[in-house]
Amino acid sequence: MFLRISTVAILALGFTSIETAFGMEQEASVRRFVKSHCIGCHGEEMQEGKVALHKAPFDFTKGETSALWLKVLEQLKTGDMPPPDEKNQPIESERNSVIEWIDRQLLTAGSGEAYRKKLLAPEYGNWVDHEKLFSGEIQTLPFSPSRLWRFSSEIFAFKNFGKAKSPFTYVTSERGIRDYAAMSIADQSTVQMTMIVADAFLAEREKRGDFKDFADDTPIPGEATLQEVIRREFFRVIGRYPTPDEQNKYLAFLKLSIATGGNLDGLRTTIKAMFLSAPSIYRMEFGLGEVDEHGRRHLSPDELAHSLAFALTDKTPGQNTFIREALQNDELKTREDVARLVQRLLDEQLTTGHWDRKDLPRIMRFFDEFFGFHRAGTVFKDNDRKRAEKIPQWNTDMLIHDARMLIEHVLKKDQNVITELLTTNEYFIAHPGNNEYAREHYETRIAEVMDPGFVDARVELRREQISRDFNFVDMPEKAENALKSARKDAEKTVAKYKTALDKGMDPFPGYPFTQKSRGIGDLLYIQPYNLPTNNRIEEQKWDWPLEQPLQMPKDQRAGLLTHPAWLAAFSLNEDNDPIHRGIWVYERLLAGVLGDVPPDVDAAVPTDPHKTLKERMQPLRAERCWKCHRKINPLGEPFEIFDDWGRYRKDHYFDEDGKIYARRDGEFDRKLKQGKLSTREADASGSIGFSGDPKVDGDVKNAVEMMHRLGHSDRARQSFIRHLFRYLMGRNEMLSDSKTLIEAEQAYLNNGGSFKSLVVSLLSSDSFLYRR
Amino acid sequence: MLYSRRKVMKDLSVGGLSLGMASCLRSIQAHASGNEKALPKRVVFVVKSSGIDKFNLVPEGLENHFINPDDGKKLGNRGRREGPLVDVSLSDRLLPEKLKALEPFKNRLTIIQSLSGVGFRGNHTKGFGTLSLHDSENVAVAPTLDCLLGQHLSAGPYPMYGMAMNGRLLEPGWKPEDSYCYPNLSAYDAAKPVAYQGSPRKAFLELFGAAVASPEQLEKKLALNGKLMDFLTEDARRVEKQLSGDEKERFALYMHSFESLRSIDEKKAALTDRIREHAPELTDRFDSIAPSARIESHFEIATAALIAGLTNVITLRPDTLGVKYTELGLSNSVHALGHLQENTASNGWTGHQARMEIEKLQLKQIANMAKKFDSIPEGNGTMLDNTMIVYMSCSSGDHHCAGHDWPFVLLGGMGGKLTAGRYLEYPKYGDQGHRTVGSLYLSLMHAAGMQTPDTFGQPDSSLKHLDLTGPLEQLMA
Repeated sequence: MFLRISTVAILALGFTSIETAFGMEQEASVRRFVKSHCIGCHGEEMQEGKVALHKAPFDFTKGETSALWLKVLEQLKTGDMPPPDEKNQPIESERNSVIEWIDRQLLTAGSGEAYRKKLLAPEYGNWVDHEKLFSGEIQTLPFSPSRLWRFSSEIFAFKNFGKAKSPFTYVTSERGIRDYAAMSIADQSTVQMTMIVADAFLAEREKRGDFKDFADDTPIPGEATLQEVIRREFFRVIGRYPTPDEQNKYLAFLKLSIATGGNLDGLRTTIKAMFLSAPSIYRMEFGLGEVDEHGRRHLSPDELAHSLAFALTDKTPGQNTFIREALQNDELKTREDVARLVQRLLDEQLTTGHWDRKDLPRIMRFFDEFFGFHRAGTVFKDNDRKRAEKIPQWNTDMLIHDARMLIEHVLKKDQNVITELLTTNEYFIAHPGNNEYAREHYETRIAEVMDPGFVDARVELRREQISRDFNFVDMPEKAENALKSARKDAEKTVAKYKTALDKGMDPFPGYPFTQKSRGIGDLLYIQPYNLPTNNRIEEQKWDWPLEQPLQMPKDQRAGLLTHPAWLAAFSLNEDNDPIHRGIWVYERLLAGVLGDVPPDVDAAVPTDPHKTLKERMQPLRAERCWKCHRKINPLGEPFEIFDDWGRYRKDHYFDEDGKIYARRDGEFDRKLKQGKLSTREADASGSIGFSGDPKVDGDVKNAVEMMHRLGHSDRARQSFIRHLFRYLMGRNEMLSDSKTLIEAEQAYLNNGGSFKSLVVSLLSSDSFLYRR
Repeated sequence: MLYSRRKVMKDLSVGGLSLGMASCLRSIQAHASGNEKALPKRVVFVVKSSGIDKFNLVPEGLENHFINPDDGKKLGNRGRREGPLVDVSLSDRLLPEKLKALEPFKNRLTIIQSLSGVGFRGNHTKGFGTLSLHDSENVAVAPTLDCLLGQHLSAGPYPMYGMAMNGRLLEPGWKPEDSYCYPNLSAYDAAKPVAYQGSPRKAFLELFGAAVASPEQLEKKLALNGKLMDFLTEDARRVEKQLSGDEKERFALYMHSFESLRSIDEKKAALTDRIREHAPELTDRFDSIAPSARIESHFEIATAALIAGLTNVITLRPDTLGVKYTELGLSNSVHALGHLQENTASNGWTGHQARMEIEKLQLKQIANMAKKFDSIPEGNGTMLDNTMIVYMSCSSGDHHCAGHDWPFVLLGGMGGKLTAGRYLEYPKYGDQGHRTVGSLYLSLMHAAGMQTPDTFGQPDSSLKHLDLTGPLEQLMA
């Protein structure tokens, strides 16, 4: 869109008279559009929403004109106006031409700045027309703007500045992609904080004796020492050695600073300068390579190494073997070089590394930020509810872990990845993900517990611990009790394992925190999967599969959106959150555009203990709400087959007073037995709209059906690709990125739905390689 | 341009002041000459999370429109009863229990209820919209009131200074921030959010570092920092040449920060004696992570910073939704308390009581701050007569709140420009005579001597039938 605007603006400079005539013609056609589609409700006789357009001003130099047309623009972009039930709808090209006209008028008048800035944020990425992007009609060659991109706090964390906390904070919404070039700012507070970081880092180093050569009571160090210290410290702070120019500049500054403030403070000030310098704060992507015939500048090999390293990892290129080698071997110049390197990185490192420090950490972060399930723990759930609703442990960390194992599994197979993620019923539950390691640890643990000497060995171990514990000094009775309790625990463990084995189950061995897996303590948290729980001592109730993934009931679970982690992340404190679930599906799978919430909206859903949430949300079907909510609610309500813990449910329960009955504890069992509860089937019906495909659009009976239909749709695939593009490029797509997106989709499809091929295509696209 | 402390002192003695430092010392001179009009004015915003309860903010003897008359229970978020404008003196009324700590300052206290600020979305907060009155929870789209006031009023090194418990509003595994953070409350402009200092110790070193350094150390520091800023500005210019458009605009924020830092240094140098005189004692309490200790430390530093003239506007963020006031016997978080209502918290209080006790804890600090200001003579009165402390919440009048009734407690004065000692309750949202928070903000700006527009913030399209322009006439003296 920006390209389109700027092209028109540039043309306007050279062809003023043509443009004027063109402009007048456009103005007339806008007047016609308004007359036939708007003034019926926003005219002299009727002013719906207190908006009147029959005398709409055209002088964009006035603030109120711009403000009025911005409102019109938003309504047209979102498709909310003319109202959907209006028979006389404009054709797409008419609508687009008015949108373009308003865009251009705003730009020419230099107004609408806030609107244009807003469009840079990730949540406005969908405002670029989806059909056009994938139509194939856009011939403009892709590029990214030359840019500075402030380092992310994740990259900062790997700069080895001791305990220093990142001075970089995101201003992007925590519900989406965080690291965005155009949204990353370094201002006075960032600089001030960087100074604090530098001070803390220097104090630590000074304490360690790193600057002994520069003690104030010693003579000024010789030239060689000064040269060396600049080289060393520059590498330490910036992550590369200085260019000769930089070396000289810093050397001169060091000498000046020493003359002003003495050896030590002179050195400290020089290192501080490195910390505060632009290369320490920003990634720079100017396109220092060759310029092509279209004026696009290719990234230089060094720039490419950095851009690739930061697209997939949080570390500098030197810290990744493959990227370092490619750069050293001069194999990072062409598109083919880049494609080869990215393919190799993905083949070798897609899911490898420490469980919490992956070799390519930005891969899983994309799935976190795209799906948003990693925020499950941010939704507060009351303890009393947990008890009453039979959630013995609300462990969102484990639910998130389970979701990530599912994703890793799908990525490893690398077949129909998008569909799989949205439809699979193959889950991982309380499992390290790697079957080989799962079995290895399992067998070790079984052998240990089943050994006849296990109980005595545990008691001996405890005895040894006690002998070293000052809390037991001169307290023989306390020690004796502790030993008894250790024996009892060990005996219970043996009994638990034996019972499980007797029943033909694999006893759940528990997994410690290791390189290969996060720690998994017990099966107490698995209620949200509708599975029976037990703690460390209790008898195991669920037949935990050692080999995973396991098959969840096909009619209950379909992909990540029916996973308890996602459902929890998109829930409210006390209930489901159909609105945000619907918004998620509409924006992330249908590439839908929503307008900003009207300022006078009252977001409260009425409370009524006799009604289900879906029934209580009926008022949103009122005309003025439904204009937007028609896009959201039918996509969010199908998840009503789950409660807000993520448990599948068929029915709602009501007590004798006809009030919703949420308890699931002993009290629930009693009342159920006494026939004091009645049920009503959970109404999870909804519908898909706006997919651009009549075979996908239509009613659905619940989320499972909806996910299967969406999961196989073109629109969901394309929308996923658009979001991955944003994540890897750090910006919203422009219409000129059309070729990149179409090629990425082709690469994905031609390789059997391969995520790797998708990433290779995007990272070797013109959008990634060229700057302008 | 580089200023050494010696040069600053010399300039001071001969009157050859640079522009920046001249304004910095204006307040001292005004004070000395007794020029009331030129007396500095200051504002402190205390922006708590989770709302300030409305129903227990009504002075005794007045009809409480925020409770159900039948059962005496609190009404819902939007459930206030109708009634005309209430504008009564506090002098012959008992303050509600919650405000008891402010009793000694009743004649300089104003309680304002039922201003609306609707249309700003947010998860338990209006975010930047709290002080900018825009729909702007996480991304700043307009300047906020504290920054605007700060830029206008502050002659000292910092236009405004913020201190917060934590940047993240909802955080289950809460602990106080030990460095800068972004509570998403203040912004100098669109995309220019202000970082707040979380650590009292770091705030002390930043603001009062001069109090614990020798004159030679200060002089050397000033000289080195000046050279550092020169070097960095020059270096940044080379990068700037390669940029255009939005990129250049964003890079300017970085480049200009060196100039601002230099100016901060110079202004601080000019204030060295005052900083030394008024610096709080650097104690271990500054490292405590108990919420009440941290709040107390933030207030202590804020009070001293205003007295020393380091800034004229301070915004404090005393808690977030994750904070647990364990020293009050509460193991529930502020967020959890917001959901309790009549149910009991860990120490047996109802949710309402617990919320009130937390507000009381914060109001006690406000009272201490006011007491300190009131002990410092300024012009014909005291510093409190020229300092306005605004107690408010980013979630208006309740834990979840659309902003139809947004309570404010104002304590202090703006050099006699605002009335005080009153309880003001505006008619219900949408009724004739109803006013918005924008008008209150305009009142503060007006009292601060700023040129004000007709309205502040984004308009409320549901209130088109009302005249919402200009300041609150009931508040203007």
